[in-house]
Amino acid sequence: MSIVAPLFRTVTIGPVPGKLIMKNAQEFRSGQVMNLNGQPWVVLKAEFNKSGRNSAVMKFKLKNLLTGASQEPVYKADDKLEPVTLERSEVTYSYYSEPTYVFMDPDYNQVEIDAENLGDTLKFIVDGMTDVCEAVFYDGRPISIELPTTIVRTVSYTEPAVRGDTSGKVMKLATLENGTEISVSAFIEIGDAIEIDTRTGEFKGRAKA
Amino acid sequence: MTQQQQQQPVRRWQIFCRVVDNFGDIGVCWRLAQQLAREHGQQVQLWVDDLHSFVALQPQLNPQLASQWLTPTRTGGQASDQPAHCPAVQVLQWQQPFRWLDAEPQASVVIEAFGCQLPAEVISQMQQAGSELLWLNLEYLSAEPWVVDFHAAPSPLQGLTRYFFMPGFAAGTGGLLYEPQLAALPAQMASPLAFADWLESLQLPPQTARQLAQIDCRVSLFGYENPALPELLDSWQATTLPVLLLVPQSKISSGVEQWLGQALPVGESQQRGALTLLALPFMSQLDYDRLLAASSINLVRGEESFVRSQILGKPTLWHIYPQQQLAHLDKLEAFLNLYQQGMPAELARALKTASLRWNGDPEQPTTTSKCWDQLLFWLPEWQKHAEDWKKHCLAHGDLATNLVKFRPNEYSCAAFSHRNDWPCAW
Repeated sequence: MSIVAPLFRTVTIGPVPGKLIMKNAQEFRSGQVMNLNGQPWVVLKAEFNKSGRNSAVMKFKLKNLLTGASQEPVYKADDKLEPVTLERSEVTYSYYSEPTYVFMDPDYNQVEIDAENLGDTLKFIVDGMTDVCEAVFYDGRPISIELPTTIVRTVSYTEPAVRGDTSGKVMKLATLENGTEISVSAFIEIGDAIEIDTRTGEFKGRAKA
Repeated sequence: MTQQQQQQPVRRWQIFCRVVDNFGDIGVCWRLAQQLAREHGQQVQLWVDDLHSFVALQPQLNPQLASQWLTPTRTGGQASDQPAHCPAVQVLQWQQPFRWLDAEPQASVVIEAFGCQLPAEVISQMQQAGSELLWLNLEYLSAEPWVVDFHAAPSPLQGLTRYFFMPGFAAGTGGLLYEPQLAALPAQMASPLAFADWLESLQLPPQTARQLAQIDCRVSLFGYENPALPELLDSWQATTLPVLLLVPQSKISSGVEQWLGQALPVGESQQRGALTLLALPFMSQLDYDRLLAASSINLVRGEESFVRSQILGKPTLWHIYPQQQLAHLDKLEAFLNLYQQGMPAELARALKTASLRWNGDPEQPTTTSKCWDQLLFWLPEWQKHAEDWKKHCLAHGDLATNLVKFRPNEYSCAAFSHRNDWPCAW
C-alpha cells in the first residue's frame, strides 16, 4: 500500500502534540477512529448500556486500520479516549494492478490500496465504475476506500423473473459484473441496473432510468 | 488453611473504593476484602475515601487512622469458618492528593470498584509493573442480558489492559458476592428461641423479645425514604395475618414514625391492627445477615443486602437505586424476568406490581393493598421459589472465588471461542 504521488491535501493525523484532546467513550460513533495504545481503531459498532448509579458502560466493535485485526473492548462511558482525525479525499476508481487497486483524485494523483484492505468495498468494485468514493488516510497512508451510500450496478446473470410477483418480497440470487452475488427481488432480470446500499451490502431496488 | 487457600497462590490485592451511597459501595468492598483474606489467604489493601461511613459497618475501625490492619470478622455461618491463619486486611484512607502512606505500592491485582477512577499515581505504578498485573473494574450488579457479553471484556487504556468483571445471576457472569457458609444461617435463626436470643443480644428486654418472636411472619425493612411506605403499612395493618415489621435504623425509619404518628425509639415496638413494628439499632453486617436470615420477607435497599437475602433463600423485595430516565425500572424488570421463571402466575403478577410500585413506577396502580394480600397469601410458594432461586444463584460460584480464579486469557478464549472475531491473543 503506497501513495505514488503527493496528496492533494495536507494530511493531519490526530491531535496537535501538547494539546491532547480526549473524548468520552460514549461520544464515539460508528466510523470514528480512536487511538488505543498507539494503534488506530475504527468503530464498527458501539453498544451503550446503563450500569448502576447513573453510570454507563460501552462496548465497541473495533477494527485496526493498519492490521485489520478486530477487538471488542468495554469502557466506562466517561473513560477518556483519544480520537484520531483522519484525512479524506475524493477519488474515483482507475484500474487494478495486482495486488493493488488504483484510484485517482481530482488532481490526478494516484492512490493505491491493497485488495486486502478494501474489505467489503471490494465486492462492489467493477471496471468502469464512476462512483465518487472517499479515500481515508492515516499517517499519510491510504487505509480504506468508502463507497457512496448508494451505488448502481448491473446484473449480469440471474434466473428468469417470477411472473406475477411485483411485491419485491420474494428474493433470488443475482450475479453482478464482477462476480459478486447479491440477493435481489424476484422481478429483477439480466441487464437490469439495481441500487445497492453499501452500508449493508443489500439490494435496495431497481435503479431509475 | 482452608482448601481454597492451599489451591491458590497468594497475591497482593488493592481494592479502591469511593463511598457514593452511604453503605452500598463500602459494604461490597469490605465484604470482598474480608473474603479474599479469610477464605483465599490473599493479601489485601482496601483503599477507602470515606472512613466515617465505613466505621458504621465495622466498629473496630478507627476513622482517625489513615492506615490500619483489620482482622476479617466471622461470617454469619458456622463458628468454625475462620481459618487459624487468616491474614488481616490493611485499610487505608484514599486521600486527596493520593499518598501511598505506609502501603506497599506493588500489587498483583488492582480492583477499581464501580468505576471509581484510580488515582494517577496508582496508574503510574501499574504501568511500571508489567504484564503480570491484573487490573479489574468491578461493576454494579445487573440481571440484564447484556451483562454476560460485557463480563471479562478487555478495556485497553493508558498502555494497560483493564478487564470488566460483571457480577450477575447467570452463567457467564462473575457471580454473586457471598460466603459459601452464608446459606446455612437461616437454619440457625429458624426457631423462635434463637430469634428471641438474638433480639436480646440487641438489648431488647427478654420478655419483649420472646413475645415478639412468637409472630411467625417477620418482615425486615431497611432503606431510604419511600413514598410508597404508608400504603404498604396500611396494607399490613389491615391484613388478617399478624406481621412483625423489623426496622433497623435507616433513612426510612422517619417514614415509619410519620405513619405511626409518634416516635419509635430503638428497642420499642408499636402495634397497629395486625401489624407490629419494632425499631432496631443500626447493625453490623453480621447482625444484618442474622436479621435477613430470621425474616420471612426482606425489603432491602442496596445490591449487597439484595444478594444476601437471596443467598439466604428469602423472599425479597428490592428498593433499587433510582436512576435518571427510570433506568432502574428496566433493571428491576430484567431481574424479575429471570427470578420469576417457574413461579405461579398470580404470585408473579403480585410480586411484579408490588416491586414496581415500591420503586415508584408511575404506571402502577395507586394502591398496593391487593397485591400484598396476594403476596402474603402466596407466601409459602414464594418461600419455596426463593429456596429454588438460591440454588440457581449458588450454582455459578461466589464472586470472590471467581475473582481469584479469573485469568483473562483463558477466560476470553474459552468463553468466546465460538466468536470468530474474538482475538484470543489477549
